[in-house]
Amino acid sequence: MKIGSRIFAVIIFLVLFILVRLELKKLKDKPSTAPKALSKEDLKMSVKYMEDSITALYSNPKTAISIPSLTQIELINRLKLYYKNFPNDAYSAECLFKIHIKYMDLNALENSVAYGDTLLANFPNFQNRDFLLESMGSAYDSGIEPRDTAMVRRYYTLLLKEPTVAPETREGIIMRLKYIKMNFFEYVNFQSKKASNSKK
Amino acid sequence: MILPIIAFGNPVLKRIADNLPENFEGLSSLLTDMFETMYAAKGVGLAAPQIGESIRLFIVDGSPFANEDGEEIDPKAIGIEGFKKVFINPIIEEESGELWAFQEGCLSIPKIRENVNRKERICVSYYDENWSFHRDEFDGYKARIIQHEYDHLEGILFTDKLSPLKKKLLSKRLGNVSIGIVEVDYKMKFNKKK
Repeated sequence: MKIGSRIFAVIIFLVLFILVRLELKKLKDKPSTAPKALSKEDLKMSVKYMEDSITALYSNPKTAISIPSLTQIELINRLKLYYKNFPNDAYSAECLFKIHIKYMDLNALENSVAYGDTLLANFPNFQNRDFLLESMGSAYDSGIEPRDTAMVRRYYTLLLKEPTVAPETREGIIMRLKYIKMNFFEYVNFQSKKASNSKK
Repeated sequence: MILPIIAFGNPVLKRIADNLPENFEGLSSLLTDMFETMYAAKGVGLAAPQIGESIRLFIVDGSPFANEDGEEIDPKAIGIEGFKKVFINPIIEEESGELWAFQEGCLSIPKIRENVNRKERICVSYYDENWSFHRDEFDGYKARIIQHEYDHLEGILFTDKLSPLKKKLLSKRLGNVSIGIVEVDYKMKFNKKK
């Protein structure tokens, strides 16, 4: 009985071995199907679907509060995918800008400024350049710790070179640079006290 | 006794608060005053630094968030009715779950409400008003209120959690709050003008 069952097990093993080999051979012989290249339009649509879904969720206050950060991260990933596939395309500038803003919203400030820098380097004439520079300056001014005043100065100085900056923004930036040693909290207090004294 | 609530701009709100010793004198009357102050201002939480005491203590009463009859049930509010507690020397041991955004406000920063991202669940250890030790888990609005009040003990305001651009946009309004240029229907202590 013992010898009989051993022979039976060997036969089963051999049958299974042959079957597996045959299946593997079939797979090898199959013509390889290379992944279909993603088109610009496909990627743009996938970004748009995600943005529309998030907008729809935000339009309802009940659902707006429950939008998880993973939804935003999914959108960031789709934006990154477009940039990765078509880094020189004009829409990539928009993607990089949106990634900068989304990371900023998620308080992932290091990532936010990294993509902001990529945008400034790859698309120096980006149409929202002044907004981006202000955003970068404020990230270093009142977000990223430890506060790096050299970086605040760098982006605000670049911002002042932009001809499109509104006069009141320009004035505010010049003032901020003058008192750059104060942190955001101290500067807000200083400004408000100054304003209230000048009204007297 | 209703105490004045310290406005944005006062350094006590940016300080890391100290632990309370177990024999802290006047704890009971301080808690009574804090509850009275919080209810008068229609708040759901109040931390000791907000009344000028830099100590690790906050109170909560989340009942205004409770689901009302006939209203669609908000899962984040489940169990919040009767959520009235005292947290002494609390430690948030763990935060878990997804980040979710909710429009927060603060009694020290009236008329400003902004979306803040926080994690869904927390595990917190603390002493209650009788110095009994607890280690509890909270989620939804309960966790949200505790996280907000706990931040006060760390010298963090909800505005610190906003994006830098949003902070910049709010800076003038925050400055106005700090010197009292804001309409508010509860007692506040603003910062002295130079």
